[in-house]
Amino acid sequence: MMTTDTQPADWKRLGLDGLAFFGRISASISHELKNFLAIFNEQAGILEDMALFAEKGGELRIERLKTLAGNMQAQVKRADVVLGHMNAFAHSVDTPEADVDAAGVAALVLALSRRLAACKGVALTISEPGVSLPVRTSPFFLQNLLFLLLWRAVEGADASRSVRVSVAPGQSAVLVRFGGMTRAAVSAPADDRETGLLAMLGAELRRDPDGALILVLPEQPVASAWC
Amino acid sequence: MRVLLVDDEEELVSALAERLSFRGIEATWATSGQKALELASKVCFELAVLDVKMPGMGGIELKRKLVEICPGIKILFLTGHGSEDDFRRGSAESGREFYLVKPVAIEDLIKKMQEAAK
Repeated sequence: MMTTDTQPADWKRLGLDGLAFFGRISASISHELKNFLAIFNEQAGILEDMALFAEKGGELRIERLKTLAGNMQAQVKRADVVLGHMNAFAHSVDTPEADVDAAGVAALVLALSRRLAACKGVALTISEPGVSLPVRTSPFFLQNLLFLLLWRAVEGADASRSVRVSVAPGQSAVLVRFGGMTRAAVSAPADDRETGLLAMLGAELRRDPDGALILVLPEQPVASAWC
Repeated sequence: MRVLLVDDEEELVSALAERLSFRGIEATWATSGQKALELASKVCFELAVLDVKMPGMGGIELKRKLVEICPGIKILFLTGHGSEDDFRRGSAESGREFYLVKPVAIEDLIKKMQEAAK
């Protein structure tokens, strides 16, 4: 059985909810960056401790130094990935409409949400098509809608505690499938935030018989959507 | 003083344990609430330093379970920038003065540990 959820967009609501989404993701990123700073702080502290020890005549362990240097470089790489995601997220508000790769946007939303989901005990995986799936849309509000649906999946995750997202081409559309949810979570009606964003993006929400939510994104914006 | 450090970032807890050891404080560490509870079921710790937000079991839930296993255990929370609500809940559990924000200077951490252990 297929159902759809659309209603006219409420711009004030979309704006306020969009800000709340931006804040939630930014706060999560800042939390991750704080962790990196804390790790750098302790690793630099160990170097300082080792220097103090050596000054007092203790042996300087070269292998330990090499390990610490390697660990710090690994943390820099991790932090750089998070900052790359943050940068892409921040630039999503640069323009109200753009050509984007829907699979890339979905992957970014998953990356931004992974720690939040892990705190709920849910793992996120994505199956990407391996080719670009371009859509012309509002990059920021598409992220917002993907996050809302992903969060519905996280909060309604089934016993596997693993939400699986896949992105595939459809008929003049891109299909984003959210699996790993309970039937109740799949069949729950879209809330006001979801319906507003669906209308704005000219998108549609379907439920498939296998117990998954499918977001149908048009390749081109609907004329009345936000122009 | 038997100290338990819990944070999902292994590089952080292991480094903290090493630095505390350098200062004469033996600390055991775990990277999840479940592992921390397993350790606490074998050794009753006198003090625990807990991250607030961790995958699976968060620090506040872990604190309540640790207190059941080790009555009298003292708790410090060590957290990244949480929300105002996180701060209210965390400081209500630990006392405002025992809710620390990362990164923290090792001397400040030890001072708080000593205050909490009194």
